[in-house]
Amino acid sequence: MAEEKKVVKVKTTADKSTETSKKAHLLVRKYYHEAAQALQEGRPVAWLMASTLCEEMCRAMDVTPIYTENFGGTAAAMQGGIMLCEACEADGFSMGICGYARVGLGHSKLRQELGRVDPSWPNGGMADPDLIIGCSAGCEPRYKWYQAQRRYQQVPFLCPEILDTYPVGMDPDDLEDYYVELLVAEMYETKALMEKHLGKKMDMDKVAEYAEQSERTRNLYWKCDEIRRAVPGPMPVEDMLSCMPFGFFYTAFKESEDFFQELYDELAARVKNGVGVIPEEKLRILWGWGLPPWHYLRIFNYLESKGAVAVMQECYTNFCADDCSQYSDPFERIARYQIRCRNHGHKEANARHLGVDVSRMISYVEDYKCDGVIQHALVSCRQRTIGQIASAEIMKKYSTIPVMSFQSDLVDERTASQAEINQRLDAFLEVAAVEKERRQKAGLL
Amino acid sequence: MLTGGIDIGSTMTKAVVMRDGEIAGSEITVTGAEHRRTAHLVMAAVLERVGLKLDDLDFIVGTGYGRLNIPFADRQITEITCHARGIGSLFPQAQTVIEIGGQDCKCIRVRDGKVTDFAMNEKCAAGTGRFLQIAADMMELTLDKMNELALNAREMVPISNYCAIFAQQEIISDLSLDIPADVILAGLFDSFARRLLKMAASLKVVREVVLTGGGSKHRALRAAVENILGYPVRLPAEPLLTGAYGAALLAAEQVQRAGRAGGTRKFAEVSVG
Repeated sequence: MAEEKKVVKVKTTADKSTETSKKAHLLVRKYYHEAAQALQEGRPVAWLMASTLCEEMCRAMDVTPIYTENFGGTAAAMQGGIMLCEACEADGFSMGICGYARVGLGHSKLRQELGRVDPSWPNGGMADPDLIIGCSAGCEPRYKWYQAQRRYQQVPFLCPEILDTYPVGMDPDDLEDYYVELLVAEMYETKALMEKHLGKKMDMDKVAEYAEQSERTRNLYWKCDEIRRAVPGPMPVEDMLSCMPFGFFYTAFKESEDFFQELYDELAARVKNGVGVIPEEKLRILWGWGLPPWHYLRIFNYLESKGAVAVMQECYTNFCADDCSQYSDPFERIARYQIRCRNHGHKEANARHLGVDVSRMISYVEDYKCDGVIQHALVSCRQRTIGQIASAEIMKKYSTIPVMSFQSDLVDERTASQAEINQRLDAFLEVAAVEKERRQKAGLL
Repeated sequence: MLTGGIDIGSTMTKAVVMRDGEIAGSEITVTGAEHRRTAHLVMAAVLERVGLKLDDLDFIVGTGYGRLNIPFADRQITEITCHARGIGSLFPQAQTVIEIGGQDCKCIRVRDGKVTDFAMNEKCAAGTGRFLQIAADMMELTLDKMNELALNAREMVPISNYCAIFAQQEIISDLSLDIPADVILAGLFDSFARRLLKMAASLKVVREVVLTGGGSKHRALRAAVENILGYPVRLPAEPLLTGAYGAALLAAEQVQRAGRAGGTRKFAEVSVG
């Protein structure tokens, strides 16, 4: 029998520019380890999805959260996504299903087969849950994923109805109260179910404390994005994607707030001293519609090697800061904050007769002085892909800068060819450079 | 002024030498596995043909997939920019360029020889020259014969353009049903043309439309494209050379920008604009 050949691993993660972001993985790992420790000590663990509005409730009930979507991205970045996707597909799930879902389902499938979580899995794997809490916000796979999860884990599945984005063209002032009423009702129902399954009452004073904590963390997260408008850009997209888990998932944690304070201080110092990501920032790029290719975050370093910096991203941002401290019911406070952030820019979008996502991108191009937009068409995420051709057309009406789309996936590297992506990026950057030169000659810059 | 353009494509390598804005000579060869060796050979061949040495050239631009493997090139520029520049020079009215290469195809919107937008096929052989080569091999036909049959067909069957392998299976199935080869081939070229135009549609196809790249030499493909568009498209005299020609033109612009000529190629930092 031939000797087994060693597989040469090619680095796909990005080299980071900011010192704080280089430490992000340590805090992510800590959150996963805390869940594993909770399991060992007999304390409950919950698997959550983003936008469930349940983190504060979990913390108030001493339930340790793990975000399964975050695990999907982390697994892909650590080159462990395909193993888990293949385990999922081997059980009959389609390759077209959301990559995050396939990683989560594959994890549970292998966990069932092995009888344990293998510590060699990314971040040591996810600790077994006592509860899984999904929600309806975002996309359809989020409903079905946790439903399918119960093939492997017979634990209670809660699924609050979270409707948090306004329809196009409606006046936000007319809608906020209705949306908040729905969310608060859903949160009380979730509270009742959690109390039933965990056999104890939820301490609403603690929920209020964690709601305040989340607000502080998220406001700082937004502030870090705001300061990135500076030229040269102090922080590239790949760095913010590493820090994102603390502003998008683990927000009710003091460590997350402290992390963003440290990051903000570093960014402020970089801006003050004119420190950019690369010595000569020739082009500024907006990472537009579509989630990141977690399996190939080095794409951002590739851009930098060509003199281009991705200075801002449209995905996983907080969109604004707010203060909802006047609402005494912590659920209302959480709901108001969420609704206001998610729909920030809606009035401006209405004035443009556009959807809020596209409108935000138009604003980002202006605010962050971008010379080009890159959109990522995701094979396994139709929700963030449908409309990209239309959004590119719309953006071209507001700006002459080029918009490029490329196809791969959020998790599944089998869908992508890095050589082909780079080929496309080379041409795009040439077009962006020519257009920037034209605008400079025309006195538009 | 003497400049060179060299285009290492996935299938063919092309070189052009220009003297004072005119093509002095060109060469086309198979790329093979050793890009550097091929680059040297093709450039040596064209230089010999025009009686020059490498050092006589003021600037050389490399393009194509293998552009990073041309040790003597002063600058690398993507084939999208090079094709646009080449076509812009040959057809100043061109607004849409469809380049059909060996392993990919591209639609390029151009204005004054500069790229304003572009689209490329995704990771699939459908819509590339390889697709037609697979079909020709399978049907044991030369590419010329394949075109002749398709052009003379009076009917066609629909063939999938989603995937080259699916198309191959359909052809096998159609052959087993005794569907004549010319009818299958007419469907194949129609399918190919629709795939190209679907990709191009994301940028809006605006007349004049120019086809280029090795795949555009298929007469039946050109006919199918024209049939779908409803108007004639343009074709360079040698479609394989437009990338290398554009590269040589861009090389000349680099020299002009630097404001000097004379055989020392030291202007690699000049911008593309």
